[in-house]
Amino acid sequence: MSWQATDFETAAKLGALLAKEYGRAMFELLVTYQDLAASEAASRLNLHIRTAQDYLDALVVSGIVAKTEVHEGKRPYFRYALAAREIAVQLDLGDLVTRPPGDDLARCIRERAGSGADFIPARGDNLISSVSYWTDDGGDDAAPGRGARARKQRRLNLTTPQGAFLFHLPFPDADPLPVSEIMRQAGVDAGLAPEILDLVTVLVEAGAVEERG
Amino acid sequence: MYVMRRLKPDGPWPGLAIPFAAISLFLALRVTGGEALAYSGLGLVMLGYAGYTLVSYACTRNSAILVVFFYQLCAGLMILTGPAAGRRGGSDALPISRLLAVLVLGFLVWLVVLAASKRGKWRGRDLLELAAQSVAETAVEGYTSRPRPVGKVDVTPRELRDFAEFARRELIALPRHEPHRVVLVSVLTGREPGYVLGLRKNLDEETWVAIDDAGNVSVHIAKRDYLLYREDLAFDELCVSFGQVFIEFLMLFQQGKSVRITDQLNAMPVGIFS
Repeated sequence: MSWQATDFETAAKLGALLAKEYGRAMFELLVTYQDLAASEAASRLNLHIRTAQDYLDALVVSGIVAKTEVHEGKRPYFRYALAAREIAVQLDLGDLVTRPPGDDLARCIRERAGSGADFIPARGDNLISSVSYWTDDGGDDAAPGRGARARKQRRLNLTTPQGAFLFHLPFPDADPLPVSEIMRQAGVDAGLAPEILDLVTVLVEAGAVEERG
Repeated sequence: MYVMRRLKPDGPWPGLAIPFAAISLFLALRVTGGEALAYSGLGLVMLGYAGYTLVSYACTRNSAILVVFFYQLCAGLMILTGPAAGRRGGSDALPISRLLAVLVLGFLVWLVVLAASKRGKWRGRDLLELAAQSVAETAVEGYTSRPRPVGKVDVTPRELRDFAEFARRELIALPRHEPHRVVLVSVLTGREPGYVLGLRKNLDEETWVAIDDAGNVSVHIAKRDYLLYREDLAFDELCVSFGQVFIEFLMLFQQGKSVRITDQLNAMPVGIFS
């Protein structure tokens, strides 16, 4: 029987389980034994019983391993057996971007006045190489209702198309322009719209760029 | 053309700061060490200043600065061979010091003529005034440290290099040659020592216009220069206007009408020492 992961989150959880240093040894046991208890696996692999039990339970949740409650004259316990001998991961990474870029290319944007963002120009080129902005980082523990006080500076290193795009971003007192028009002025290919829109979203959320109209 | 004064009044004659400092030093030395020391000190200061002016000439190739150099050189030597030597017990009327005195007078007259025609004046303030003439006031806080692309010009690398040298010679801007572009840094009177001595290298703190190999023009206006304006001017408009000034200058230069560039700058309400 085979087990398949077709969405990113499931594949990520599986990856995390397989990456454990005792992961391979645990799967070797599961393949070798018809079934086994967590205590048996723990003693065999020299692990703490709780570690082995958590790992096996995580595999049960994912559906790769099945567990059965058994009674052998003492208090009941669980035995674990492999439910699938083959694991397949198949992801279409295009599914990660759910929104078509066409919707957002009409957003009119410009730099936000007094945002405190620092646009660092590339040396000797008509590009912005990186942008730094301040982010709120947690609130004031002594006065929770008074909003965030601790701030952190974040720096985004930009790709070349993103740098050209930001170089042509309208100034704070200029009329906002659609993203598509700024891309045209910057000579950025329309096929690169997703990475431009990703940047725009980040900078709008950070308050470095504002959306109008 | 009707011209408005858009910049705040300048400080007390930044171009005269060093001469005033020299006179102050002279008076201080005279009080503390006597006349001989005061004249010797003044002469050495003049020679030191002449050395700086020579570096300044090497940096700009501006002929007016060369006249200033010879004036300072002759004045320094004249003071050392005349009044300073006389107060040390020698003769203060040697033929050489008389000749130097005549030369000093000649160079002084020449300097006055050059100063009146603004030939040796750094044009940073003139450029800021010229760029701001058509810019509206705004209530929006528009300043940003980002450069602003302002257009494209049709120029060959050779023409661009020649224009950069012209801008350097006329003290309109000091060019910095980068691999794919020329950056023309605007210099205000009083700030030139930092540029001449190579101390100011960070372009983020300067006002400049860059023209790349493809003819793309971009502008950066430093915050401290933007704050020189009386009103809050529309920053986006100001950057475009500043770039357009240089684009127009470049076109005039290409047409062989360089004198029109000087005329436009001279028409600005900026003093000869500011």
